[in-house]
Amino acid sequence: MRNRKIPPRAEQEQHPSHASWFLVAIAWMLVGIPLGWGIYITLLKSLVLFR
Amino acid sequence: MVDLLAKERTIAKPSYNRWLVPPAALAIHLSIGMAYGFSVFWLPLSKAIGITEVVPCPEDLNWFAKIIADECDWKISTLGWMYTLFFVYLGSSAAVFGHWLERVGPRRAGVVAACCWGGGLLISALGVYIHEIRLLWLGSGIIGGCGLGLGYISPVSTLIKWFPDKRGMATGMAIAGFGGGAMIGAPLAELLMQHYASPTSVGVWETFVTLGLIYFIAMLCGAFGYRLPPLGWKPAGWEPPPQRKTMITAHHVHLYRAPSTVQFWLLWGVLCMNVSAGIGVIGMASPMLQEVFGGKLIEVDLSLAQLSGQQIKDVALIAAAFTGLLSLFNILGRIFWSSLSDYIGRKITYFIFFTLGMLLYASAPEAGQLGFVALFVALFCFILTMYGGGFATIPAYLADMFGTQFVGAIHGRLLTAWSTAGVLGPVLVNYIREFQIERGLPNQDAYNVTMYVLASLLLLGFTCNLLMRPVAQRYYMTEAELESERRLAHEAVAGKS
Repeated sequence: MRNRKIPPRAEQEQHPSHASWFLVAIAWMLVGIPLGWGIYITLLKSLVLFR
Repeated sequence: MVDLLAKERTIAKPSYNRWLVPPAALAIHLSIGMAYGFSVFWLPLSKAIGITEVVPCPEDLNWFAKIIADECDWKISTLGWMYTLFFVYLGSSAAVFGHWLERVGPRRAGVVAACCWGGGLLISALGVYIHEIRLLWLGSGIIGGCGLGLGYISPVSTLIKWFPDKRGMATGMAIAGFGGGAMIGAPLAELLMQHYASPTSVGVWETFVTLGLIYFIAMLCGAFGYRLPPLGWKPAGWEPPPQRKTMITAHHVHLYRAPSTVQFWLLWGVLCMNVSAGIGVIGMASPMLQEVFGGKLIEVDLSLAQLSGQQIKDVALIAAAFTGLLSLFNILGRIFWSSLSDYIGRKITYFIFFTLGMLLYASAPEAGQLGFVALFVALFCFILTMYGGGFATIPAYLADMFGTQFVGAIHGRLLTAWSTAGVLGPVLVNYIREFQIERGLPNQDAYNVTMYVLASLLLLGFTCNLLMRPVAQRYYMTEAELESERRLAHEAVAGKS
Protein backbone atom coordinates (compact mmCIF):
# COMPACT_ATOMS: atom_id res chain seq x y z
CA MET A 1 0.00 0.00 0.00
CA ARG A 2 2.72 2.41 1.03
CA ASN A 3 4.68 1.85 -2.21
CA ARG A 4 2.04 3.74 -4.15
CA LYS A 5 1.91 6.72 -1.78
CA ILE A 6 5.60 7.50 -1.53
CA PRO A 7 7.38 9.43 -4.27
CA PRO A 8 10.46 7.73 -5.78
CA ARG A 9 13.96 8.17 -4.40
CA ALA A 10 15.26 11.61 -5.31
CA GLU A 11 18.94 11.10 -6.08
CA GLN A 12 18.90 14.14 -8.34
CA GLU A 13 18.70 17.72 -7.15
CA GLN A 14 15.34 19.38 -7.71
CA HIS A 15 14.30 23.00 -8.05
CA PRO A 16 11.23 24.35 -6.23
CA SER A 17 8.44 25.77 -8.37
CA HIS A 18 8.17 29.56 -8.80
CA ALA A 19 4.73 29.57 -7.18
CA SER A 20 6.20 27.97 -4.05
CA TRP A 21 8.14 31.18 -3.30
CA PHE A 22 4.80 32.97 -2.82
CA LEU A 23 3.86 30.39 -0.19
CA VAL A 24 7.28 30.82 1.41
CA ALA A 25 6.69 34.60 1.70
CA ILE A 26 3.27 34.05 3.34
CA ALA A 27 4.58 31.42 5.74
CA TRP A 28 7.47 33.65 6.84
CA MET A 29 5.09 36.62 7.26
CA LEU A 30 2.83 34.54 9.52
CA VAL A 31 5.68 33.83 11.92
CA GLY A 32 7.66 37.01 11.24
CA ILE A 33 4.93 39.54 12.09
CA PRO A 34 4.28 38.29 15.65
CA LEU A 35 8.02 37.88 16.21
CA GLY A 36 8.68 41.40 14.90
CA TRP A 37 5.98 42.74 17.24
CA GLY A 38 7.62 40.94 20.18
CA ILE A 39 11.04 42.34 19.30
CA TYR A 40 9.57 45.85 18.91
CA ILE A 41 7.94 45.68 22.37
CA THR A 42 11.20 44.42 23.90
CA LEU A 43 13.24 47.20 22.28
CA LEU A 44 10.66 49.77 23.36
CA LYS A 45 10.93 48.61 26.98
CA SER A 46 14.74 48.56 26.71
CA LEU A 47 14.88 52.24 25.76
CA VAL A 48 14.72 53.18 29.43
CA LEU A 49 18.21 51.69 29.77
CA PHE A 50 19.69 54.21 27.35
CA ARG A 51 18.00 57.36 28.62
CA MET B 1 -9.79 6.19 7.26
CA VAL B 2 -6.93 8.24 5.86
CA ASP B 3 -4.23 8.72 8.44
CA LEU B 4 -3.41 12.40 8.05
CA LEU B 5 -0.54 12.06 10.48
CA ALA B 6 1.17 9.13 8.73
CA LYS B 7 4.84 9.70 8.02
CA GLU B 8 4.36 8.58 4.39
CA ARG B 9 2.00 11.50 3.82
CA THR B 10 4.66 13.98 4.86
CA ILE B 11 7.15 13.05 2.09
CA ALA B 12 7.52 16.19 -0.04
CA LYS B 13 6.68 16.41 -3.73
CA PRO B 14 9.54 17.23 -6.14
CA SER B 15 8.45 20.86 -6.51
CA TYR B 16 8.40 21.45 -2.73
CA ASN B 17 10.31 24.45 -1.43
CA ARG B 18 12.51 23.60 1.58
CA TRP B 19 12.22 27.17 2.91
CA LEU B 20 8.65 26.31 4.01
CA VAL B 21 9.99 24.01 6.74
CA PRO B 22 11.69 26.63 9.00
CA PRO B 23 8.49 28.72 9.42
CA ALA B 24 6.60 25.52 10.29
CA ALA B 25 9.25 24.75 12.91
CA LEU B 26 9.13 28.35 14.12
CA ALA B 27 5.34 28.19 14.58
CA ILE B 28 5.90 25.34 17.05
CA HIS B 29 8.96 26.77 18.77
CA LEU B 30 7.47 30.28 19.15
CA SER B 31 4.43 28.68 20.81
CA ILE B 32 6.27 26.49 23.29
CA GLY B 33 8.81 29.27 23.94
CA MET B 34 6.12 30.96 26.05
CA ALA B 35 7.32 28.67 28.84
CA TYR B 36 10.10 31.22 29.45
CA GLY B 37 7.50 33.99 29.84
CA PHE B 38 5.33 32.30 32.47
CA SER B 39 6.60 34.64 35.17
CA VAL B 40 4.13 37.29 33.88
CA PHE B 41 1.39 35.22 35.55
CA TRP B 42 3.02 34.98 38.98
CA LEU B 43 2.00 38.39 40.32
CA PRO B 44 -1.67 38.23 39.21
CA LEU B 45 -1.88 34.59 40.33
CA SER B 46 -0.53 35.54 43.75
CA LYS B 47 -3.68 37.72 44.07
CA ALA B 48 -6.15 35.30 42.46
CA ILE B 49 -8.35 35.24 45.59
CA GLY B 50 -7.83 38.77 46.90
CA ILE B 51 -7.89 40.35 43.37
CA THR B 52 -6.53 43.72 44.52
CA GLU B 53 -4.30 42.49 47.35
CA VAL B 54 -2.78 39.24 48.53
CA VAL B 55 -4.80 37.11 50.96
CA PRO B 56 -2.08 35.29 52.94
CA CYS B 57 -2.61 31.78 54.31
CA PRO B 58 -2.71 31.44 58.12
CA GLU B 59 0.83 30.98 59.49
CA ASP B 60 -0.11 27.79 61.39
CA LEU B 61 -0.98 25.92 58.17
CA ASN B 62 1.66 23.41 57.04
CA TRP B 63 3.05 23.36 53.49
CA PHE B 64 0.59 20.75 52.18
CA ALA B 65 -2.39 22.48 53.80
CA LYS B 66 -1.32 25.75 52.14
CA ILE B 67 -1.17 23.95 48.78
CA ILE B 68 -4.74 22.67 49.02
CA ALA B 69 -6.23 25.71 50.77
CA ASP B 70 -8.75 27.46 48.53
CA GLU B 71 -9.43 30.55 50.64
CA CYS B 72 -5.93 32.08 50.58
CA ASP B 73 -3.54 33.07 47.80
CA TRP B 74 -0.61 31.10 46.39
CA LYS B 75 2.92 32.30 47.12
CA ILE B 76 5.12 33.24 44.15
CA SER B 77 7.71 30.71 45.39
CA THR B 78 5.06 27.97 45.15
CA LEU B 79 4.11 29.05 41.64
CA GLY B 80 7.80 29.12 40.67
CA TRP B 81 7.91 25.31 40.88
CA MET B 82 6.36 25.42 37.42
CA TYR B 83 9.78 26.27 35.91
CA THR B 84 11.39 23.23 37.53
CA LEU B 85 8.60 21.03 36.17
CA PHE B 86 8.95 22.59 32.69
CA PHE B 87 12.63 21.85 32.35
CA VAL B 88 12.60 18.44 34.03
CA TYR B 89 9.72 17.22 31.83
CA LEU B 90 11.12 18.89 28.72
CA GLY B 91 14.39 16.99 29.07
CA SER B 92 12.77 13.71 30.14
CA SER B 93 10.13 13.62 27.43
CA ALA B 94 12.65 14.56 24.72
CA ALA B 95 14.90 11.74 25.93
CA VAL B 96 12.10 9.15 26.21
CA PHE B 97 10.08 9.96 23.08
CA GLY B 98 12.94 10.86 20.70
CA HIS B 99 13.09 7.38 19.16
CA TRP B 100 9.30 7.25 18.77
CA LEU B 101 9.48 10.62 16.98
CA GLU B 102 12.05 9.30 14.49
CA ARG B 103 9.74 6.37 13.72
CA VAL B 104 6.43 8.19 13.37
CA GLY B 105 7.74 11.42 11.87
CA PRO B 106 7.60 15.06 12.92
CA ARG B 107 3.94 15.69 12.06
CA ARG B 108 2.46 13.20 14.53
CA ALA B 109 4.93 14.37 17.18
CA GLY B 110 4.02 18.01 16.46
CA VAL B 111 0.30 17.27 16.83
CA VAL B 112 0.86 15.45 20.13
CA ALA B 113 2.99 18.41 21.30
CA ALA B 114 0.15 20.80 20.34
CA CYS B 115 -2.36 18.71 22.32
CA CYS B 116 -0.04 18.60 25.36
CA TRP B 117 0.88 22.32 25.35
CA GLY B 118 -2.54 23.70 24.37
CA GLY B 119 -4.43 21.14 26.46
CA GLY B 120 -2.08 21.71 29.40
CA LEU B 121 -2.95 25.40 29.37
CA LEU B 122 -6.66 24.56 29.39
CA ILE B 123 -6.17 22.27 32.41
CA SER B 124 -4.24 25.09 34.09
CA ALA B 125 -7.14 27.46 33.36
CA LEU B 126 -9.43 25.06 35.23
CA GLY B 127 -6.86 24.95 38.05
CA VAL B 128 -6.94 28.75 38.36
CA TYR B 129 -10.74 28.84 38.10
CA ILE B 130 -11.27 26.37 40.98
CA HIS B 131 -8.06 27.54 42.74
CA GLU B 132 -6.28 24.19 42.68
CA ILE B 133 -2.53 24.58 42.15
CA ARG B 134 -1.99 20.87 41.57
CA LEU B 135 -3.98 21.21 38.35
CA LEU B 136 -1.58 23.99 37.27
CA TRP B 137 1.42 21.80 37.97
CA LEU B 138 -0.20 18.85 36.19
CA GLY B 139 -1.53 20.86 33.23
CA SER B 140 1.24 23.26 32.30
CA GLY B 141 4.11 21.73 34.27
CA ILE B 142 3.84 18.00 33.55
CA ILE B 143 1.60 17.63 30.47
CA GLY B 144 2.74 20.96 29.04
CA GLY B 145 6.37 20.05 29.85
CA CYS B 146 6.02 16.87 27.78
CA GLY B 147 4.66 19.06 24.95
CA LEU B 148 7.73 21.27 25.31
CA GLY B 149 10.10 18.32 24.93
CA LEU B 150 8.28 16.81 21.93
CA GLY B 151 7.78 20.17 20.25
CA TYR B 152 11.39 21.18 20.83
CA ILE B 153 12.91 18.14 19.11
CA SER B 154 10.17 17.62 16.49
CA PRO B 155 11.76 19.69 13.68
CA VAL B 156 15.45 18.98 14.39
CA SER B 157 16.17 15.97 12.18
CA THR B 158 13.73 17.20 9.49
CA LEU B 159 15.53 20.54 9.22
CA ILE B 160 18.95 18.87 9.14
CA LYS B 161 17.79 16.58 6.31
CA TRP B 162 16.41 19.54 4.32
CA PHE B 163 19.46 21.73 4.92
CA PRO B 164 22.51 19.46 4.74
CA ASP B 165 24.43 22.50 3.47
CA LYS B 166 23.24 24.82 6.30
CA ARG B 167 22.58 22.51 9.24
CA GLY B 168 23.54 25.07 11.84
CA MET B 169 21.52 27.91 10.36
CA ALA B 170 18.38 25.81 9.88
CA THR B 171 18.23 24.38 13.39
CA GLY B 172 19.43 27.71 14.80
CA MET B 173 16.41 29.50 13.30
CA ALA B 174 13.99 27.04 14.89
CA ILE B 175 15.70 27.06 18.27
CA ALA B 176 15.80 30.87 18.16
CA GLY B 177 12.00 30.63 18.06
CA PHE B 178 12.03 28.91 21.45
CA GLY B 179 13.97 31.87 22.82
CA GLY B 180 11.63 34.32 21.10
CA GLY B 181 8.36 32.76 22.22
CA ALA B 182 8.27 34.71 25.47
CA MET B 183 8.82 37.98 23.59
CA ILE B 184 5.46 37.49 21.90
CA GLY B 185 3.68 35.51 24.61
CA ALA B 186 4.53 37.63 27.64
CA PRO B 187 3.27 41.02 26.30
CA LEU B 188 0.30 39.26 24.69
CA ALA B 189 -0.56 37.65 28.03
CA GLU B 190 -0.30 41.06 29.74
CA LEU B 191 -2.71 42.56 27.19
CA LEU B 192 -5.12 39.66 27.60
CA MET B 193 -5.03 39.82 31.40
CA GLN B 194 -5.78 43.56 31.28
CA HIS B 195 -8.66 42.83 28.90
CA TYR B 196 -10.17 40.04 31.01
CA ALA B 197 -9.52 41.58 34.45
CA SER B 198 -12.72 42.33 36.37
CA PRO B 199 -13.75 42.98 39.99
CA THR B 200 -14.11 39.21 40.43
CA SER B 201 -11.15 37.91 38.40
CA VAL B 202 -7.49 38.78 37.74
CA GLY B 203 -8.03 37.55 34.18
CA VAL B 204 -5.54 34.68 34.28
CA TRP B 205 -7.80 31.68 33.63
CA GLU B 206 -9.40 33.45 30.67
CA THR B 207 -5.90 34.28 29.35
CA PHE B 208 -4.84 30.63 29.73
CA VAL B 209 -7.87 29.52 27.70
CA THR B 210 -7.20 32.09 24.95
CA LEU B 211 -3.46 31.33 24.78
CA GLY B 212 -4.14 27.59 24.89
CA LEU B 213 -6.37 27.84 21.83
CA ILE B 214 -4.00 30.18 19.95
CA TYR B 215 -1.00 27.94 20.62
CA PHE B 216 -2.94 24.80 19.76
CA ILE B 217 -3.91 26.21 16.35
CA ALA B 218 -0.43 27.67 15.65
CA MET B 219 1.26 24.39 16.55
CA LEU B 220 -1.18 22.37 14.44
CA CYS B 221 -0.39 24.67 11.48
CA GLY B 222 3.31 24.06 12.11
CA ALA B 223 2.88 20.29 12.42
CA PHE B 224 0.86 20.06 9.20
CA GLY B 225 3.45 22.28 7.50
CA TYR B 226 6.23 19.72 8.15
CA ARG B 227 7.46 17.81 5.10
CA LEU B 228 10.22 15.24 4.91
CA PRO B 229 12.59 15.17 1.94
CA PRO B 230 12.59 12.00 -0.17
CA LEU B 231 15.49 9.68 0.64
CA GLY B 232 18.68 10.82 -1.07
CA TRP B 233 17.41 14.36 -1.67
CA LYS B 234 20.03 17.11 -1.86
CA PRO B 235 19.85 20.84 -2.58
CA ALA B 236 20.50 22.04 -6.13
CA GLY B 237 24.23 22.37 -6.82
CA TRP B 238 25.31 20.99 -3.45
CA GLU B 239 27.66 18.05 -2.98
CA PRO B 240 28.29 16.35 0.36
CA PRO B 241 31.61 17.43 1.96
CA PRO B 242 34.59 15.23 1.06
CA GLN B 243 35.50 12.54 3.56
CA ARG B 244 38.70 14.36 4.52
CA LYS B 245 36.47 16.56 6.69
CA THR B 246 36.77 14.11 9.55
CA MET B 247 34.55 16.08 11.93
CA ILE B 248 31.53 15.57 9.65
CA THR B 249 30.61 11.93 9.26
CA ALA B 250 28.78 10.41 6.29
CA HIS B 251 27.77 7.45 8.50
CA HIS B 252 25.07 7.04 11.13
CA VAL B 253 25.22 5.95 14.77
CA HIS B 254 22.21 4.16 16.26
CA LEU B 255 20.40 5.92 19.10
CA TYR B 256 21.01 2.97 21.41
CA ARG B 257 24.74 2.97 20.63
CA ALA B 258 25.27 6.74 20.90
CA PRO B 259 25.37 6.87 24.75
CA SER B 260 28.15 4.23 24.66
CA THR B 261 30.42 6.65 22.83
CA VAL B 262 32.73 9.09 24.59
CA GLN B 263 31.62 11.76 22.10
CA PHE B 264 28.03 11.70 23.38
CA TRP B 265 29.14 12.38 26.95
CA LEU B 266 31.66 15.00 25.86
CA LEU B 267 28.87 16.85 24.03
CA TRP B 268 26.64 16.35 27.07
CA GLY B 269 29.37 18.05 29.11
CA VAL B 270 29.73 20.83 26.53
CA LEU B 271 25.99 21.59 26.64
CA CYS B 272 25.64 21.18 30.40
CA MET B 273 28.57 23.49 31.23
CA ASN B 274 27.59 26.16 28.68
CA VAL B 275 23.98 26.17 29.88
CA SER B 276 24.84 26.01 33.61
CA ALA B 277 27.12 29.02 33.28
CA GLY B 278 24.55 30.82 31.09
CA ILE B 279 21.61 30.17 33.44
CA GLY B 280 23.79 31.30 36.33
CA VAL B 281 24.57 34.57 34.54
CA ILE B 282 20.93 35.13 33.54
CA GLY B 283 19.88 34.73 37.16
CA MET B 284 22.59 37.12 38.35
CA ALA B 285 22.61 39.79 35.65
CA SER B 286 19.66 41.89 36.80
CA PRO B 287 20.37 41.92 40.58
CA MET B 288 24.08 42.41 39.83
CA LEU B 289 23.33 45.48 37.69
CA GLN B 290 21.18 46.94 40.49
CA GLU B 291 23.56 46.21 43.35
CA VAL B 292 26.81 47.09 41.56
CA PHE B 293 25.61 50.37 40.02
CA GLY B 294 22.77 51.26 42.41
CA GLY B 295 21.87 54.96 42.09
CA LYS B 296 24.21 55.50 39.14
CA LEU B 297 21.53 53.94 36.93
CA ILE B 298 19.28 56.93 37.66
CA GLU B 299 22.12 59.44 37.95
CA VAL B 300 22.06 59.54 41.76
CA ASP B 301 25.35 58.99 43.57
CA LEU B 302 24.01 56.55 46.18
CA SER B 303 24.15 52.80 46.72
CA LEU B 304 21.03 50.67 46.27
CA ALA B 305 20.46 50.43 50.04
CA GLN B 306 20.43 54.23 50.34
CA LEU B 307 17.79 54.84 47.65
CA SER B 308 14.19 55.86 48.37
CA GLY B 309 11.20 53.65 47.51
CA GLN B 310 10.48 55.43 44.22
CA GLN B 311 14.15 55.41 43.24
CA ILE B 312 14.35 51.66 43.88
CA LYS B 313 11.30 51.22 41.63
CA ASP B 314 13.02 53.25 38.88
CA VAL B 315 16.16 51.13 39.20
CA ALA B 316 14.05 47.94 39.05
CA LEU B 317 12.43 49.22 35.84
CA ILE B 318 15.87 49.67 34.28
CA ALA B 319 16.88 46.20 35.45
CA ALA B 320 13.75 44.74 33.83
CA ALA B 321 14.68 46.51 30.57
CA PHE B 322 18.16 44.98 30.87
CA THR B 323 16.64 41.49 31.23
CA GLY B 324 14.53 42.07 28.09
CA LEU B 325 17.59 43.17 26.17
CA LEU B 326 19.46 40.06 27.30
CA SER B 327 16.71 37.81 25.95
CA LEU B 328 16.88 39.61 22.60
CA PHE B 329 20.64 38.99 22.37
CA ASN B 330 20.07 35.39 23.43
CA ILE B 331 17.89 34.96 20.32
CA LEU B 332 20.20 36.85 17.98
CA GLY B 333 23.08 34.69 19.18
CA ARG B 334 21.14 31.54 18.33
CA ILE B 335 20.83 32.57 14.69
CA PHE B 336 24.25 34.23 14.35
CA TRP B 337 26.49 31.61 15.95
CA SER B 338 24.70 28.56 14.53
CA SER B 339 24.88 30.07 11.01
CA LEU B 340 28.55 30.96 11.48
CA SER B 341 29.25 27.38 12.61
CA ASP B 342 28.33 26.19 9.09
CA TYR B 343 31.43 28.01 7.83
CA ILE B 344 33.96 27.74 10.65
CA GLY B 345 32.91 24.31 12.03
CA ARG B 346 31.22 23.35 15.29
CA LYS B 347 34.37 22.60 17.27
CA ILE B 348 35.84 26.03 16.53
CA THR B 349 32.49 27.68 17.35
CA TYR B 350 32.43 26.11 20.81
CA PHE B 351 36.14 26.88 21.19
CA ILE B 352 35.19 30.56 20.74
CA PHE B 353 32.25 30.28 23.17
CA PHE B 354 34.39 28.82 25.93
CA THR B 355 37.54 30.90 25.44
CA LEU B 356 35.78 34.22 24.98
CA GLY B 357 33.24 33.21 27.61
CA MET B 358 35.91 32.59 30.26
CA LEU B 359 37.52 35.96 29.51
CA LEU B 360 34.22 37.84 29.60
CA TYR B 361 32.84 36.10 32.72
CA ALA B 362 36.09 36.78 34.54
CA SER B 363 36.14 40.44 33.46
CA ALA B 364 32.50 41.16 34.42
CA PRO B 365 33.37 42.12 38.03
CA GLU B 366 36.09 44.41 36.66
CA ALA B 367 33.60 46.04 34.27
CA GLY B 368 31.31 46.66 37.24
CA GLN B 369 34.10 48.24 39.29
CA LEU B 370 35.01 50.56 36.41
CA GLY B 371 31.52 52.00 36.70
CA PHE B 372 30.66 52.03 32.98
CA VAL B 373 27.06 50.85 32.69
CA ALA B 374 27.24 50.62 28.86
CA LEU B 375 30.34 48.41 29.01
CA PHE B 376 28.71 46.18 31.62
CA VAL B 377 25.50 45.86 29.58
CA ALA B 378 27.41 45.19 26.33
CA LEU B 379 29.49 42.51 28.04
CA PHE B 380 26.45 40.64 29.34
CA CYS B 381 24.64 40.98 26.00
CA PHE B 382 27.61 39.36 24.27
CA ILE B 383 27.76 36.58 26.87
CA LEU B 384 24.07 35.89 26.21
CA THR B 385 24.65 35.54 22.46
CA MET B 386 27.06 32.71 23.25
CA TYR B 387 24.61 31.08 25.67
CA GLY B 388 21.95 31.04 22.93
CA GLY B 389 24.51 30.01 20.32
CA GLY B 390 25.46 27.01 22.45
CA PHE B 391 21.86 25.75 22.39
CA ALA B 392 21.35 26.37 18.69
CA THR B 393 24.59 24.83 17.43
CA ILE B 394 24.36 21.56 19.36
CA PRO B 395 21.95 19.75 16.94
CA ALA B 396 24.29 20.42 14.01
CA TYR B 397 27.29 19.28 16.10
CA LEU B 398 25.39 16.05 16.86
CA ALA B 399 24.54 15.53 13.19
CA ASP B 400 28.20 16.04 12.28
CA MET B 401 29.34 13.43 14.81
CA PHE B 402 26.51 10.87 14.76
CA GLY B 403 24.93 11.28 11.30
CA THR B 404 21.37 12.31 10.52
CA GLN B 405 19.41 9.06 10.94
CA PHE B 406 18.84 9.44 14.69
CA VAL B 407 19.90 13.03 15.27
CA GLY B 408 16.49 14.12 16.63
CA ALA B 409 16.37 11.26 19.13
CA ILE B 410 20.03 11.65 20.17
CA HIS B 411 19.38 15.38 20.61
CA GLY B 412 16.44 14.45 22.83
CA ARG B 413 18.71 12.38 25.07
CA LEU B 414 21.29 15.15 25.16
CA LEU B 415 18.68 17.59 26.45
CA THR B 416 18.95 15.88 29.86
CA ALA B 417 22.09 18.04 30.08
CA TRP B 418 19.77 21.05 29.94
CA SER B 419 17.58 19.68 32.75
CA THR B 420 20.70 19.07 34.83
CA ALA B 421 22.01 22.56 34.10
CA GLY B 422 18.62 24.01 35.03
CA VAL B 423 19.18 22.73 38.57
CA LEU B 424 23.00 23.07 38.75
CA GLY B 425 23.30 26.68 37.52
CA PRO B 426 20.88 28.41 39.91
CA VAL B 427 21.85 26.22 42.90
CA LEU B 428 25.54 26.97 42.37
CA VAL B 429 24.96 30.71 42.01
CA ASN B 430 22.66 31.01 45.02
CA TYR B 431 24.82 28.83 47.27
CA ILE B 432 28.07 30.67 46.47
CA ARG B 433 26.41 34.06 46.87
CA GLU B 434 24.87 33.19 50.24
CA PHE B 435 28.19 31.74 51.41
CA GLN B 436 30.01 34.96 50.46
CA ILE B 437 27.42 37.19 52.18
CA GLU B 438 27.55 35.02 55.33
CA ARG B 439 31.32 35.60 55.38
CA GLY B 440 30.59 39.31 55.61
CA LEU B 441 31.27 40.36 52.00
CA PRO B 442 29.23 43.37 50.79
CA ASN B 443 26.34 42.38 48.45
CA GLN B 444 27.88 44.02 45.38
CA ASP B 445 31.17 42.12 45.86
CA ALA B 446 29.54 38.73 46.44
CA TYR B 447 29.07 38.34 42.69
CA ASN B 448 32.78 38.36 41.88
CA VAL B 449 33.62 34.88 43.15
CA THR B 450 30.44 33.52 41.54
CA MET B 451 31.53 34.85 38.15
CA TYR B 452 34.92 33.17 38.57
CA VAL B 453 33.23 29.87 39.47
CA LEU B 454 31.00 30.14 36.40
CA ALA B 455 34.11 30.82 34.30
CA SER B 456 35.61 27.60 35.69
CA LEU B 457 32.52 25.71 34.50
CA LEU B 458 33.33 27.03 31.06
CA LEU B 459 36.85 25.65 31.46
CA LEU B 460 35.32 22.19 31.95
CA GLY B 461 33.22 22.68 28.82
CA PHE B 462 36.31 23.87 26.96
CA THR B 463 38.11 20.65 27.90
CA CYS B 464 35.19 18.48 26.75
CA ASN B 465 35.13 20.29 23.41
CA LEU B 466 38.89 20.02 23.02
CA LEU B 467 38.71 16.24 23.50
CA MET B 468 36.14 15.79 20.73
CA ARG B 469 37.27 13.36 18.02
CA PRO B 470 35.30 11.57 15.29
CA VAL B 471 33.25 8.59 16.48
CA ALA B 472 35.08 5.25 16.10
CA GLN B 473 33.98 3.20 13.07
CA ARG B 474 32.80 0.28 15.21
CA TYR B 475 29.84 2.39 16.38
CA TYR B 476 28.54 3.11 12.86
CA MET B 477 25.41 1.35 11.65
CA THR B 478 25.96 -1.28 8.95
CA GLU B 479 24.09 -1.02 5.64
CA ALA B 480 21.79 -3.84 6.79
CA GLU B 481 21.02 -2.08 10.09
CA LEU B 482 20.37 1.18 8.27
CA GLU B 483 18.05 -0.51 5.78
CA SER B 484 16.18 -2.25 8.61
CA GLU B 485 15.82 0.98 10.57
CA ARG B 486 14.61 2.87 7.51
CA ARG B 487 12.02 0.19 6.92
CA LEU B 488 10.78 0.60 10.49
CA ALA B 489 10.79 4.36 10.01
CA HIS B 490 8.78 3.99 6.76
CA GLU B 491 11.67 5.29 4.64
CA ALA B 492 12.97 2.09 3.02
CA VAL B 493 10.20 1.78 0.46
CA ALA B 494 10.92 5.24 -0.78
CA GLY B 495 14.56 4.37 -1.09
CA LYS B 496 13.93 1.19 -3.08
CA SER B 497 11.23 2.41 -5.47
